Amino acid sequence: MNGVHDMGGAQGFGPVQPEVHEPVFHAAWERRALALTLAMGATGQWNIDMSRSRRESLPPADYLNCS
Amino acid sequence: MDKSPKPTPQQAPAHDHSHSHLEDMDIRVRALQSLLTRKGYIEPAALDRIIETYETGVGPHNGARVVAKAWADADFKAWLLRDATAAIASMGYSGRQGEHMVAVENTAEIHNMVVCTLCSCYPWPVLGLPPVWYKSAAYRAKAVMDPRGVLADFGVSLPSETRFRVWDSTAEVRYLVLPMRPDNTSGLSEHQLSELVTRDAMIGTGLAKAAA
Repeated sequence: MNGVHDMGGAQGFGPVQPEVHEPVFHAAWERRALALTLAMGATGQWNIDMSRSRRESLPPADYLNCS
Repeated sequence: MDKSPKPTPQQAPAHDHSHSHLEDMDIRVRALQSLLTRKGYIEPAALDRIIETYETGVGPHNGARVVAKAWADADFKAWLLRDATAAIASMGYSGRQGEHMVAVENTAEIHNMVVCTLCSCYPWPVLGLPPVWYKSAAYRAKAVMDPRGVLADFGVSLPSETRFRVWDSTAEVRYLVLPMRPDNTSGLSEHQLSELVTRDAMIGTGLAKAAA
């Protein structure tokens, strides 16, 4: 799919901004969301292709606002 | 008994927008967890175990041991460059998001950098979860266009004659950069060597630290 996620070579996003001493998670819900995603992967009801398809179907402005 | 009429939508209190987006996300994720638990898909205790694994068990310290071993043991290095999946698995690091590993060696002539232009593919068993910058639009866009500029964003420069090779990760294949071994490290143990290996050096956005 050719969408906003296909970013290789795009210009105008500015410099890369590394975060010093970055924590693994930035908010408590991130821990739980990761665990839910992985646990549901183990059930076979949810896989990486479904996950990517949903992410890449987000409205472009929403996609660009996610970290 | 309260006989007052129910408020019409117009009379209902205005939706409170004072709570933050983070609180919204927290509530949504908790609701999802309750739903999936009630439906029998997940157990909360298993979630705690997954969180613990990715917060403390898996991380760049794993990859650093792989690199240090490759620096210290020529046979292991040859194996790593030939079949990274097997060589890395022999140290106990395997599994999700690391099923097909490729190791790429930095030399004085070639500097390797790893990106996932389409999303956030990253070798979890050896590096843990990706940092935010790895998933950012800026990195994904710029790495394939201007890797030398990306290195500069990290405060690193290489001689102008060094060539760059950028690897775009896929859902299946994940890359580990084998950084150049720093000078004056011949007397160091594998453990001491591993302490010179940074996460960024294994992505190619940094170099290994100089020996103290």
